Amino acid sequence: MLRAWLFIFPFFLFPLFLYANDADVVKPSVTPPAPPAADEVVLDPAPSGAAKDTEEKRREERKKERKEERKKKQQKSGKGKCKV
Amino acid sequence: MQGLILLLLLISPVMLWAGDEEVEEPEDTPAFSFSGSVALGGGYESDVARSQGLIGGRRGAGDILLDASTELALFEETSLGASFLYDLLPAYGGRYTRMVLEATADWYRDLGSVELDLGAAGGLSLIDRFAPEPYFGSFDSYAELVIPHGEKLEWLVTLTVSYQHGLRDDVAYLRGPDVFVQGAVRWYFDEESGTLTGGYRAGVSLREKAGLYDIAGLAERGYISLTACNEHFEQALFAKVSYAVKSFTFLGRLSIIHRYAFAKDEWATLVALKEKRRIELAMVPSIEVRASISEEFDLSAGYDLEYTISSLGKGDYYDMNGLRHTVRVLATQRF
Repeated sequence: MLRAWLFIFPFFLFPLFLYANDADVVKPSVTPPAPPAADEVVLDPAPSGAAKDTEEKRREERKKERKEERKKKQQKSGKGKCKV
Repeated sequence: MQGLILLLLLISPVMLWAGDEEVEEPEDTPAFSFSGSVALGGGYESDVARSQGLIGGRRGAGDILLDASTELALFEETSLGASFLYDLLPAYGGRYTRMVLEATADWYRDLGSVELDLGAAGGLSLIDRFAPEPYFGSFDSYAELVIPHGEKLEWLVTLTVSYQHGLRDDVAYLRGPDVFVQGAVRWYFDEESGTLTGGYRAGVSLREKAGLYDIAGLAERGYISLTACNEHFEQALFAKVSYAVKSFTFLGRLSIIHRYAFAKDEWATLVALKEKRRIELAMVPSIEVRASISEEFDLSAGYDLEYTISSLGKGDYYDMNGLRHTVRVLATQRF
């Protein structure tokens, strides 16, 4: 059983690989943006509509996943003695 | 039981009223929104006998499933839901046909750099097609922290606490809590079409000990006593990939689960007394295809394989080793 674990464990290290690559983090541009003019009021950028839609969609997906997992569990546990 | 049914009955008219409110609401973002779904399908499980705790060889069984659920969302942050599941299992004379009533509540908050999701669900399972009676009561809760990391990556930390209570005499020993912590990372590798998720889950499942008569057929096979430990530590590695092409979505999952019982099982026949700790490694790959026929209607087909390697095998009171196949098709209409 230990050998089986040693074999399969490396396949689950990809989160660390992703983190190490850090490819998706928004990095600052090489050329810094021009400073705002003296009379220009700079506000924090509000999330765009598209970003909000993406966030909403991802949230819905997570919710759907949780519901599906609960349904699977429900189908198993209601079925009877799924554990001895 | 009566209390839960009463709660569901009370929630239903509120939801219907809220659905009407949404139509009359002039604002762009309604305070209330109402949604729901009805799913009809069926499936086949190759080793239903084991999941029923019945001895006497592997036995498959098909089922027909009806699943209806409704949800009321309040101010985009809170949602209340109710659902009903009817799973008709013709095998064993319909004795294992299940009906599950459930009420849910979820709360979500965007805290800037992280998002927090809290939720709870209470359910009641009834069993027996011809004379329904209470089987299980259950409570599930979760707290999930979502930490976005750039635009394409997010970390998820989830704590789940649940409690199951066997209500009928034959499942009275299945009482106790589960507590699990899960860490996962999700990579949106292709805009919103493709995701890859991987993570680790660990926790404990604590149930009361099972006795000789909690497993059908043992006494008839010559066993005179059994004390089976139902408290175990469980850990799992899991991965999931999802990819959408036009109106089709393909999903693949793999879980590798390790269970370690806290005490040894003890059993006896007239000639021998044995004890052994239950340790299991289960590999559960699954695939699923979903076809969106329209925005409200979709079809899905899935296959699950479960391969269990257990320390309890031939020569013990129960052989836990083996394969289990499950196939399922489902048609879902949302509104």
